[in-house]
Amino acid sequence: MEVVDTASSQPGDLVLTLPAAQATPAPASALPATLLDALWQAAEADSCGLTLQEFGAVLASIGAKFNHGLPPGALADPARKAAFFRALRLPDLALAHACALGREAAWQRFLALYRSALTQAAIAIAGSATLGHDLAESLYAELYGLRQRDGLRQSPLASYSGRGSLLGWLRTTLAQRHVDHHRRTHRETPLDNLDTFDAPAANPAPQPVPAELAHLTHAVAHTLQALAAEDRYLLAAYFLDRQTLLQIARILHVHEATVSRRIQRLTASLRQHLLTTLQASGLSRRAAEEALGTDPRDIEINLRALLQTSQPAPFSDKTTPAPTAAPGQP
Amino acid sequence: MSQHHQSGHHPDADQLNAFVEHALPPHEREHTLAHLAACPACRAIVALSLPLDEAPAKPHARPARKPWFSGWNLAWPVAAAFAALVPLVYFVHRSAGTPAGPAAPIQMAQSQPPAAPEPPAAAQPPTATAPSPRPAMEHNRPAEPSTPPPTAAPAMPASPGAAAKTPAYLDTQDASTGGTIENELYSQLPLAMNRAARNASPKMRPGAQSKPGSGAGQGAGNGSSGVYGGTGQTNLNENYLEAMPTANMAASADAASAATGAAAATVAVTNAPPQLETTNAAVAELLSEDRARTIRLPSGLPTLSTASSGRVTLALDSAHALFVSDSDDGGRRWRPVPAPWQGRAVRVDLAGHAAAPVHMAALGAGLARSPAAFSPLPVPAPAPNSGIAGSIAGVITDPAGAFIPNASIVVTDAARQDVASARTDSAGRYRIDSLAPGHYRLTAFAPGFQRLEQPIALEPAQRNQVDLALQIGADTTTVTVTDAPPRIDTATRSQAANKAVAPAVIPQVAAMPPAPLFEVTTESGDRWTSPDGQTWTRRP
Repeated sequence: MEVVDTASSQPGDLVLTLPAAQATPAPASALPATLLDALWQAAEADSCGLTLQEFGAVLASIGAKFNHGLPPGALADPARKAAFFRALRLPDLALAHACALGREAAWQRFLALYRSALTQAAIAIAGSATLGHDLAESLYAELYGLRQRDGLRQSPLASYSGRGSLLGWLRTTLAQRHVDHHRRTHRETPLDNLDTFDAPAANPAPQPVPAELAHLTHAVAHTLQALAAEDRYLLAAYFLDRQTLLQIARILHVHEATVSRRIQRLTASLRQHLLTTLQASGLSRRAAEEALGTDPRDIEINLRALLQTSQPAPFSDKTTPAPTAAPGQP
Repeated sequence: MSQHHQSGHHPDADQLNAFVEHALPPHEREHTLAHLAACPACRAIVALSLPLDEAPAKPHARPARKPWFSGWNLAWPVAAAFAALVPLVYFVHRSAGTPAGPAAPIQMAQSQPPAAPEPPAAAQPPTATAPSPRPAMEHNRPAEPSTPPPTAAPAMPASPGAAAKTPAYLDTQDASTGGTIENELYSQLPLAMNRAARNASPKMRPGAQSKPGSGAGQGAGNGSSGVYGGTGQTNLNENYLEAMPTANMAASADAASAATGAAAATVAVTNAPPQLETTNAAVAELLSEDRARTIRLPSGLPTLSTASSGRVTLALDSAHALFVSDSDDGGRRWRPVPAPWQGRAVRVDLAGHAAAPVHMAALGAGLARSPAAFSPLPVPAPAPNSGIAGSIAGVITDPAGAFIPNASIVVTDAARQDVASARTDSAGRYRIDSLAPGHYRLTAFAPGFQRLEQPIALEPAQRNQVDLALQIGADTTTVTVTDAPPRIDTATRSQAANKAVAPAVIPQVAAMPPAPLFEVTTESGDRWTSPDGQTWTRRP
């Protein structure tokens, strides 16, 4: 799958990854006429000024981009395609793409529906009314397509796929822009240093590491890399980002008690797995337990780096198979 | 610049939004999670993109107005009101069960038509004792059954020689005080005795009789001196006294005076025996009934049966134990009575319930004070044809000259003892006959008028015409009742038997009723009697 940077013109900005299919829209004839007409009717695309062919091209590009919801390489039958298209938020999709095409009716409707909500979301994200209004206005300008490339207006709304709600997409875009703004204004200071994590200062003159600590460092790195993606996300969000159980639960769509139990079980399994790994490396159980009791300040381990770099593959490489279950996980 | 924020390595907003909204397929979700675990910036974006409130507060919909009777909102208040109403209804029901009854006047005495032929009507002057219906009081008076003519009362025959033939009446007075009975006195009588007295009326013997339409013949039978003497009260209220017709005898009794001697009774009776059956039983029953509600026996058990003579009250509890209480302590202290009988007592009652007639004269205070002095002696009738009796007649008017009906006229002697009394008829006329010669004081009073007294010197066989004009003044009601219409023709002096009876005769005009006997009935049917509730004798 080709990765195209369509949004960021600056080196440090977050970018939107659009599939190559968007650059070369699929023909509208790829969809059955009856299905396309039904979807067009359901999306009320006509009221947004979006023609049937334009709407069909949008649907075809989205279907091709996400392979109709199937893993890469799988072939979607017509029923699967129809189910995928019907599961989309067709009215939001039609509205977003009509706005991206600059249809006035769509913009009027967009402003009527989302202007107030977008401003409130921007204020909530920025934590300030002034910053929120500025953030919202800047996003409006960007959404309207003031940025041009090759003489064509480029609107982020064109990247909306309709899998989530348009309002959620707007909030995420606002958050993205806010993080970009924060990163631009704090360019010299990485975001990592803004965290409360007090990483030990780098020792200009590295001392020779004892064998137990070397085993421990290797065991930690091996254990964290072996964790499942969701487990690593749990540990990172809870221990690194200091997110609350409720925030994590809302993101994972589980109850916060479930998050708490999973974190507790995960830490226990990590300790057990570390002991096993240390014993496998030649330490006795007592030595392994003593190694686990080492003061973290004596360990030259950047847990943040270990945890966050445990998945070196970029996000765009969707063909990478999911990691296996973490040790100790059922 | 962080190595984690290079272009092309981060999911776009659409991907993150789909992840947040749980709209990603599993493989994309896993891939996104793997990136989020390694990318703090994307985790921050995801955390910031969360909606402010996952479960937005629902707008406060205006609650639909519910009907006021829906649900259980009123159930508890209604239940509470019902719970409060039940005891109230029960109390009212219990209160209504008491014999409040209409204001039935006490059947004090019955006038009896004279056995002797009446003088010609034309010759009989309209006296103050002429029948004058009182419609105003009729509604208060229970319908009295027509009763057969009374028979001569053996206990109170006429004077020898003219026993039953000559209708005679006696003007008696209380020798002790001689005061008139007024409503002030009666107003002090308790209600309980009023009730008792009202209940006495159904106890009339068949011989009792009242004149049809006259409303006469009502009296209060003072039964046993124990009852009234114990309570010291007689029940006569003003209404009743005013209702007393002027035609017939009237009796007023004041047991309070009997006990204290502070009041007097002016009793005018015929020689016919009063036909009242004693009401002591009724009163005792009522007392027992009233007391039974408040009796607190030492055993703590409910009363099974009670009997009261007014002075002594016996109560039988549900364990068949007998207790006695004197009236001195108001029925608060009870003493157990040792039972001489075998078996269990099932009932206590007053013996001679219906066998103790009490004469009107027994209501006199003197009778109550010294019951032993009474004996069923015949009442001496006025000496006929004595030729010395005088009379007083006249008209009572108001200042404008209008006749005052139903005014009371009382004749007192020099000792200010009532000798005779009368009431004016509808024409304001009155007449008092059979007065012995002497000096009297005539007192006339009527409600709304001032009392007027006038001395009179009555010569033998003289008929004095005394017309009085009452002045409007304080409302004073003097209750003085008279007996049957005068039967003396003063013109012919044919009924000389009508003469005043000296006060000393009063104690002899009535027979002392026998002392009440308590009677206990055992479960085997044996009956034991006792006069005081302490000593018991088996009744054969």
